[in-house]
Amino acid sequence: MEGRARVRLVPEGRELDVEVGGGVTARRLLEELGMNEEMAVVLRDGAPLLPEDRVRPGDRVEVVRVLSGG
Amino acid sequence: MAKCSVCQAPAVAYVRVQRRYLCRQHYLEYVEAKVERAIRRYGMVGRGQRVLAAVSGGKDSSTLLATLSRLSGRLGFELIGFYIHLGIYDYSEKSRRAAEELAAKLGVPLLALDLREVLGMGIPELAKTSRRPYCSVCGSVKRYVINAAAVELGADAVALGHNADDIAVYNMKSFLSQDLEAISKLGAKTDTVEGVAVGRIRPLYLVYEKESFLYSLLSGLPFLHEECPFVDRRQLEVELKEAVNRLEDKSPGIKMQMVTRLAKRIGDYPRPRGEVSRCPSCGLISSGGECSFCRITRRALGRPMGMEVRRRIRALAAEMGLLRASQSHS
Repeated sequence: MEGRARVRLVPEGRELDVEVGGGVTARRLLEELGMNEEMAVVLRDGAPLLPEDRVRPGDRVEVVRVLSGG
Repeated sequence: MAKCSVCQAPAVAYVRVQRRYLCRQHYLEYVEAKVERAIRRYGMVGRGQRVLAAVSGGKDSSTLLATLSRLSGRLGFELIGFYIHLGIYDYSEKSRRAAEELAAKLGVPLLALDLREVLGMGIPELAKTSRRPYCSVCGSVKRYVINAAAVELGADAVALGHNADDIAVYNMKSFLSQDLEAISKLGAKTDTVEGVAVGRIRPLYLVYEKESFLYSLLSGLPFLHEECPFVDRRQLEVELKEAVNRLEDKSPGIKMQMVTRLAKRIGDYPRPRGEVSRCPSCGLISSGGECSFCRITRRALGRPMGMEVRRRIRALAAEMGLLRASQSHS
């Protein structure tokens, strides 16, 4: 899937394809999703990405919202 | 690739407030040092004391129990975990498994109370029959049962998994409604009222919610990353948590400033008025007359159940050999 990454939102469980062009930083991906690095962590193969690590087309990542409700 | 600022190993996390990268090992040590600093700075627990850590199966419980378990030897306190099965369908089953696996992995004794075994019902039925909101009943029940367990086990302190984000949000919520008495309870520790209430400590007071998540993840600890089905994401706490983290993103360190200053000024907030008294039904703390747990259970089941809960916990503790010598005959 050229230009897009597969993102799974946790804990919601919803999956979506996000346009990442030639690759975006994890920080930028969170911004695209209306979040920031205080609110969520991007995981690839279960390991956290640094804010400047790139998410590339074809990647499968998890965006884990770390803020619990209530 | 970014390198750890301490040992030059590949970094797994960036600490924005300190503008440095850390590898897995040094990130875990960074969080443990925060917990140790909070325990020492706020005088949370002394040598030879018994700490009962309330665990729910979530990430904060994992971080709480693991960091306390690592520090208990050095700081010389005894640690026991406590879990309440709230009877919230599949969610409670999953959280029970996570709490049990966590305690087993850390080698910490875990006392688990199933609410349904004592009351014949869990939170959903209790809320329906007492005609009160789920979250309010759940909060009252947890507060009561955790305190009852601490009293029965002769614990010197109850450790709760509230992190810095939780404290910042409770503070803002109480400030918005000018409930200054509620703010007075948001310090790093609360006092013991002899015989009726065990003081609470918050070892994760200086740990950000994201740090707590990363600690559990990087430690490979079991935890449940699922929300209670009754959480309403439109509720004020959720909105405030996002708002405070938008501020933190713009001004790194602002959350830490809020909680450390709050801890410093906690004595300036007015304490709740009224005398602390003893519930005539169960003998534990009450703000006058019967305690809220005994009132809720009287309404739902026709009789107050505080004493039953206390008996059940005592029996479980005796089975596990956790009663203190001075208590075993009383």
